[in-house]
Order: sequence, then structure tokens, then C-alpha cells
Amino acid sequence: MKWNAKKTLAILLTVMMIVVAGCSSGGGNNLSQAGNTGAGQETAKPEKLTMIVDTTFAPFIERIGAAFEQEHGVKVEFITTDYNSLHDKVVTSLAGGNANVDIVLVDTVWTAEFATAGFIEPLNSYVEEGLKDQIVPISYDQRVIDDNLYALPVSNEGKFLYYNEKMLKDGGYDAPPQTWDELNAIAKDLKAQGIAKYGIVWGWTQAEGLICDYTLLVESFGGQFQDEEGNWVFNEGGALEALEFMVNSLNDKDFTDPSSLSLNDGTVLNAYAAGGIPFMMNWSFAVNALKDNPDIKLAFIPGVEGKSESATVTGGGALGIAATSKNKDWAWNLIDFINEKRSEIIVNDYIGSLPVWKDLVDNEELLAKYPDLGMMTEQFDYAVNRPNIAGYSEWSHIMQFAVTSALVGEKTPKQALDDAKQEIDSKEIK
Amino acid sequence: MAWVLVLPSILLIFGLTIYPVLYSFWLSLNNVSLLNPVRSFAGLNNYIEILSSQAFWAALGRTFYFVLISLSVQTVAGLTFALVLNQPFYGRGFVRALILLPWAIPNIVNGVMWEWILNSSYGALNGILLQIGIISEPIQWLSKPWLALNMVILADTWKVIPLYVIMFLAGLQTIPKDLYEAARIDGSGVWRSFFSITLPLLKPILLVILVLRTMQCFGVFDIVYIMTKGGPADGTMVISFFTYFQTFGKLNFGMGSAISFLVAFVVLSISLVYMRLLKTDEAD
Repeated sequence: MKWNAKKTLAILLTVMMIVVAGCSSGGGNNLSQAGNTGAGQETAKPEKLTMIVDTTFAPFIERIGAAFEQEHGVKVEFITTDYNSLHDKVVTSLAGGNANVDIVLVDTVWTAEFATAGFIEPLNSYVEEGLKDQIVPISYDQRVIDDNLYALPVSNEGKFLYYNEKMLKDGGYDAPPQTWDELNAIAKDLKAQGIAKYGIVWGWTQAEGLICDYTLLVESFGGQFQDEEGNWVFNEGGALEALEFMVNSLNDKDFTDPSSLSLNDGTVLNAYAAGGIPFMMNWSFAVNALKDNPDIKLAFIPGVEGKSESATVTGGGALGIAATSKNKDWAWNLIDFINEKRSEIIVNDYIGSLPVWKDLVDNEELLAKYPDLGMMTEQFDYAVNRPNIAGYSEWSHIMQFAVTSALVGEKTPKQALDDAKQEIDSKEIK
Repeated sequence: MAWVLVLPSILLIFGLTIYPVLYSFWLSLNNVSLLNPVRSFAGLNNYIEILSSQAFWAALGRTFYFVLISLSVQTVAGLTFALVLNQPFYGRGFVRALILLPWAIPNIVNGVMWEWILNSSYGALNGILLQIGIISEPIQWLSKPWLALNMVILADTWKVIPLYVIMFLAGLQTIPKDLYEAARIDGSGVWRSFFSITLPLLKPILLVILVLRTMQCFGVFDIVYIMTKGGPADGTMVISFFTYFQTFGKLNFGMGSAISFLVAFVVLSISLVYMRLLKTDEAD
């Protein structure tokens, strides 16, 4: 009996070891070199394609998917999540070697990370000649790593200053402010007149949106994150002034709405729509969300006297093909379909962001719907990118912690940025 | 024959528990980052790096605070509710059903709901406090690190109170009424009865709740994810969120596994203490 048990145990262990060996080699492949089969292989028409997109994008992509199914007979399925969870959703799906995902939405700052991790397929072999020339350069160039395009841009984003024209007019102001000092003065005056509670509301919760606002303020104050040799220098000069400006505006009872610290790019809309605040900082998608309020208008983001006229930060969505997808050429067909249908199913109609196609920038139908389109396009002349580095998520998180630490008063701006630089340097994030 | 019968479950347990545990332990001894295709053996480097990182200890400290405060507040509140609901009064059945309500609400919905309630400019809590006149300026509930952590505890408390109430209520109903009568005849007051009869007899239930909830609180994740995403200034960055971020935010699976093992070690130590407590109780 005892011998029997031992023997069974031995067999069991052998089976287990075989399983372990099999699994670990499989797991290893998944982690390190997520299958790379290259383009051009004609695969059979799949029953469906699966995409991971964020909720802002969903309405547009759903329209595209329906049209694609009608034309090509391939169903398009969606996995949707809110923007702040999208990164982790994509990563967990692709890192696990999930072969059922074909297309993922890639935010501007994830391109380098996803490309380095081997999550997304280089698209050069799919892209037809001339495609690049049809796309706004600022959208296209963000997606190129080492001369390879990794995701095809579908929407172009930037931050804008939203203002309530009626509140400004009631207070005796005909035009939005040109500088941050002017904005502060208007805010104080409107509060004194009993028209406003605070000057401006931002989405400054500890998340990516905070870094976007910080980035554009760094540009406003003439600062930079990295010097020409790639060393991190955000703890001095304009970048430090930008953080000091944020902290001061928050401590000033009239300037920044203190609830900004618990709002993100989405919830800040609720706070703004509730009224009592003349200005808000947000992406262009907010145009769509606020279109029922005729008083809300768009303006250039203010600058800093003697340093800048205006500044904004880029963003936007692009579609990448999962390296593990079994239907890469059909996935590309779907992405290309968006290109084909661009003047029928217009991304702006559904998410309110700017077109990436040059021929849509002055599309009359769009201009009728978005009277500010010209101004919005012009704002991009003042646009900066966030750092395009593979370790962006980690960098961003360290910076989010630094900026919020200063905003809640746990550290001085200088201390917070010094600490962040030290951590980023010690981790060799570049 | 016995071995053959348990073989399927052994295989299942092995495949779903033992193998992943061993594999992640192996990961924790290696440099495994999705951003770096080259894997290399790291020995204990991941552990050393984590143990010398301030952020880890801060997250662990926050988690202990979370566990301690939630358990004490929830136990006191849960027991109070249970004692009230154990008294006969008109409409008791209705109130008992009502108190179960939060338990039926999914964690995610609860998180979103509290995020709205606590919003400083349009949230209900500030609205009520301002109208009653208790405060004159809106309070930034989720904008200060320590306050935000306490607000997350509050949201969690609201959601889990029913568990405490139901468990305590069940416990209270097993206590024979004649014990109280005998005590009353001997001249014991309400408080004396509570501390000498109710509390000692509830001890087994209390321990079960404590064990269960300690583990749950230690792994608190979803409500933080919804309400604060670890902010502001990492004020609500509890250990499970920290681990998640290290793993899936930074794509550093080696480091993530190392943290998971350290956390598992802490949880294991706590459960050993609890097991001891439960055992002596059985021996009584």
C-alpha cells in the first residue's frame, strides 16, 4: 500500500514536471518575443475581428465596424473600457499572448512602449505609398519608431482653453485672456462681481491628464523635460516655474478650483457643466460633450508674457495591430477601411477630436459643425509632445507623484522635482 | 484507488495554484521586463530593491492603517447595528432587509457612487453639510492624501457593514436568553451583561470575521482603483495597487512577482497568528 502510494506520487511528479517544462517554454515565448509573422500572408477570412478601444472612441469605431461587416462580412467585436484603464487592459491582454485580440487603440505616449515590448506589429509592409503624405505630420510622426510606423493615427488631439462667453460678457470682457496673468485677473474680477466661484477647473487627479497639463505649462514657461543630450532637466528653469505656477494657482482661493485635484479629464466636465467657473482646460473631445451649451467657446491656451504666446500638448488615438493576431491582414483591411470611409464616417462626429487627414482639415461639413476647427488647427502650431520613451508609463507615474506631492503641499515644487529626477535617473529611464 | 480518485483535483490544484506560484517565484528571481527582451537571472536583487524602496514601505504602512481602521470601525459599527436589530421592535424585518442593501451593490458601482458623493463641487456630502451650515467652505474630500485614504475606508465600510451585521446577528441569536435573565437576577447591568456574556460568546464569530476581513482589506484594490487611482500624492497607494502598478504599469513582471511574494509572506504571518487564536479558542 505504502509502496503503491509512493509509486503513484512518482508518476504524478513526473507528469507535473512535463507540464511545467511545457508551460514554461510556452510562457517564455509569450513574454519575450510575441510571435512575429510579418505581413503579406493571405489568411482565410476570419469570422470576426476583435478590437480594444476606449469608451470615447467606441461610438465611432462601432459605426466603422457595422459598415465593415456590411461590406466585407466580417463581424467586428469590441472590448471597451474607460481611457484611464485602457493601458492596463491592452497590456494584460497582449502580454498574456491573447491571440483573440486583433487591433488595439494606442495612445500617443504608448507607441514606444508597445513597440519595444513587441505588442504591436510594424506596419511598414502594409502601408501603401502616399499614405503618409495624406496625414497631418504631427499625428503621423508620433507613431514612427526607428523609421517604422507602429500604429495608424485616426484622431488628433490637443488641449484647449474652454471659456464661458456669457460669464465673461456679464463681467465686461469681450475676449478670452492671452496670458495666464490675465486669466487670473479676470477670475478675481468675476469672483468679486459675484459671477464666478473660481477661475479655472482642471483634471488634476493623479493620472495621465495631469502630466498633459504639466507638459503644456512647461512649454508655456519656456522650460523643457530633457536637454539636447537627453538628460532630465525638469527640476530647474521653466519646468520648475510651471509647477510653482500650478501650486500657486491652487493655493490662490480664486484661481484654480481646488476640486481639480480629484477630477480627471472626464469628470472635470461635470464640474464645469455645473457652472460658476468661467474657464476649463480639456481635450477637444469635450467640444462634443458640451455642444448643448451655446455659451461655451474655445480659445487658445494662454501664454506667459515674454516667454510664450500659447502652448498645448498632443494626444490622440491610433490603431495598432496586435503582434499575436492571427488575422493581421484583415486587421489592416479594417484600419484601411477607416481611411477609405474617412469622409463618410468622420471621427470628429463621434468623438469630437481633430482630423488626422489633411483633406478633412478644411472639410466644409466639418467646419459647419465645428466653427472653431480653424482655430483648433492653429493651436497645434504651439503643440509639444510628451517624452516619446519606452519607459513612459513609469516616467509618467513618477512625475504624477511628484506633481501631486507639490500640489497637496507635501513637498515644495523644487523638492518634488528634485526627488523625481533622482528616481528617474537612478532607474535609467530614457 | 484513493489516489486515482483524487488525481483530477490534484492536477487542478497543481495547474491552477502550485504551478503558477512556483513559476512566479522563479520570475521573482529573474529580470523579467516586457520592455527588455533579454531575461537574466537576478538572484535576490528584485527583493533587495523592493525592500530598500521607500514607496514599498509607505504602501505597506498605508495598507496596515487601512486594515486596522476598517476592522475597528466596522466591528464596532457592525456590532452596534446587530445589537439594535436583535431587539424586538416594530418593522424589524424590514430594517433587517434594508441593511443588506449595500451588500448587493457591486464594488465598482459603490466606488463610482462614493466618488460622486464626495466630489467637492457637486457632491452630495458637501451639499448637505453646506446647507445645514456645518461647514462654510466645501471640503476637498479626495484631494488630501490622508483624508482621501479615510474616505476610501468610509466607502468600503458602507459596503461591507451588512456582512458584519449578518454574522453578528447570527451569533447573537445563538446566545441563550436565560443567560441574560440569570445575570439580571444576579443584579448585572446592561454593560456588565454585554462584556461578560455577549462579547465572550461572540468571540468565535468575531474571529471568523476578523480573519476574513483582514485578508480582504489587505487586498483592497477595486475601490481604490475607481475612486482615487492611488492618488493624490500616492496617499491611497495601498499594497495591492502598488503591486499591480509595478507589474502592469511598468511591465516589470520580475519585480511584480517579488512584491507579491513579500506581500504573501506578510499575509501568511498574519494568518498564522489568527490560526493560533482560533486554535486556543477551540481548545477551550
